[in-house]
Amino acid sequence: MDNPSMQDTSTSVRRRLVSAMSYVVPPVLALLLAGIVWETWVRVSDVPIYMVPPPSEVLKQLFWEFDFFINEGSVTLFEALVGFSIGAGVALTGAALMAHSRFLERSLLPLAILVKVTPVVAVAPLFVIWFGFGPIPKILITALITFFPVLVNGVTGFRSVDRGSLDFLRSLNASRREIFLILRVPSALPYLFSAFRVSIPLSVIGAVVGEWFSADRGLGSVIIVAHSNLDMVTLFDAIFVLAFMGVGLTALVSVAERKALFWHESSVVV
Amino acid sequence: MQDGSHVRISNVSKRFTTTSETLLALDDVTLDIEHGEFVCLLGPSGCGKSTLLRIIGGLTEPTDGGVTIGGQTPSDAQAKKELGYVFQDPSLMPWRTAEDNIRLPLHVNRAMNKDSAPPVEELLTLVGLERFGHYYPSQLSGGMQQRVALARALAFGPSLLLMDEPFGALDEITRETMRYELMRIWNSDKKTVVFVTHSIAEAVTLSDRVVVLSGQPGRVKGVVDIELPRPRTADVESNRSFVDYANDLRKLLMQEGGDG
Repeated sequence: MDNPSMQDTSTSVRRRLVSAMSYVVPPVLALLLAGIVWETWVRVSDVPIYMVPPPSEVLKQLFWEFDFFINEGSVTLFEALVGFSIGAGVALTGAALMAHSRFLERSLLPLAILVKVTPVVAVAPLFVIWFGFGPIPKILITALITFFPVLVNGVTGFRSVDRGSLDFLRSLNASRREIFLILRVPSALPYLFSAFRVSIPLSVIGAVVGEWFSADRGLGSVIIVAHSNLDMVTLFDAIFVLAFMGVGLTALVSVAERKALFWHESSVVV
Repeated sequence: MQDGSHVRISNVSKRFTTTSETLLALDDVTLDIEHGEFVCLLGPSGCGKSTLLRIIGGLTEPTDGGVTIGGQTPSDAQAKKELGYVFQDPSLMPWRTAEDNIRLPLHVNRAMNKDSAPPVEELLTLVGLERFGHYYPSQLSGGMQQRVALARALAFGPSLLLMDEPFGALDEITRETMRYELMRIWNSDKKTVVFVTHSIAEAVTLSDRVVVLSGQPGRVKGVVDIELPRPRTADVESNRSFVDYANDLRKLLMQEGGDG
């Protein structure tokens, strides 16, 4: 009965729940409202279903064909995540090297910019010719567009270290490797998470674009097939699933960010 | 070691060259510092005293002349973990607790860790933070952060402590407290300390010897031995010689226009 600490945790759990709800409820309400407006508009103005389907039809099919969308979605998700991992991995390695050498930065960064400004859609057909119809071209296209934000933020992040901390480590004769692991990596985390927030949604785009050019699997190919059949309900379902995927992945990044950057100003809730 | 001096600064000059001009920051500075001596480098802002400290610590290369620490170069002293640095900003890592910040020096250059290094709990007690080991820097006040920085500089048992205006960013009240705290800590094992400051009171309170530097170019204007009794506590300021020493130093600083 008289246990203040228990009481404390239960009230703090409740408070946390309330604050979580205050983040979840408004957007859900807004979404619901948008759905109702859409539904009413379609019903009232008699838009043909091959132009704009009512959301109720879209959700109905999503429900009945759930397994199908989960299967195709997981193909796309797999390509997006593997592509992102490769893109981010290569970018982090490059950023670590460039952060240590202006020479490398000067030689490689223009190349990276060239890759970045070349529209991925223009390169995608090439990848299909080179790598065939399997998941590999999609993964590579995804890697290609997720690479650049991580690279640029990584270089800035690895360099943006506190001078005093750097001097202190140098006064102990710390090796470059030690300075990198102890100081540069944690200092870069805020920059890297910003990059991930940009790159993660890009990874879904990369996978879908890849599937447009050559696929029998994945939501990208579902869109292409539905489009040629004027099957708007399926098309909208694919879009819904992709949007949901993007939201989910971004939320995961945010959670990881909050955990990793508890010490950073950006994590202070105002 | 061929003689008793711990730090020998021989004819050190430092020129900074920008595209348009050359600035002579230090001009032919020569100075010997004994083992266990507390020396303050006192001078106006921009007189090159921090540069001199960085040269002693091996963070900046002199243009001419050289420094030896116990007969070896500053970079050898770095390699043997003989230099404990404290900067004006605590420069703690915000993602590590106070304890982990203090332990940090033991994680780099491990081959040179000494058995004699004091345990973290002891250091926390020494700087008066025994209850705050699990706090993150952002949860500590400026003075407490600087105490952590001091403990961190002592954690690997260096023989020479280099302090670059360590209390400069603190408010006046905390500053004075920290001064006597430092005296108490220093009394426990009398390391050699080189302490950069622009506060006359700080210099008199702390030092065995005050080296007064002139501004631009930085030259040794004079050296004043402070023969106040130790251990020094807050009473030292009511000592009549305290005021005399302070006046001597002020006169030295004011010579030839003072701060140029």
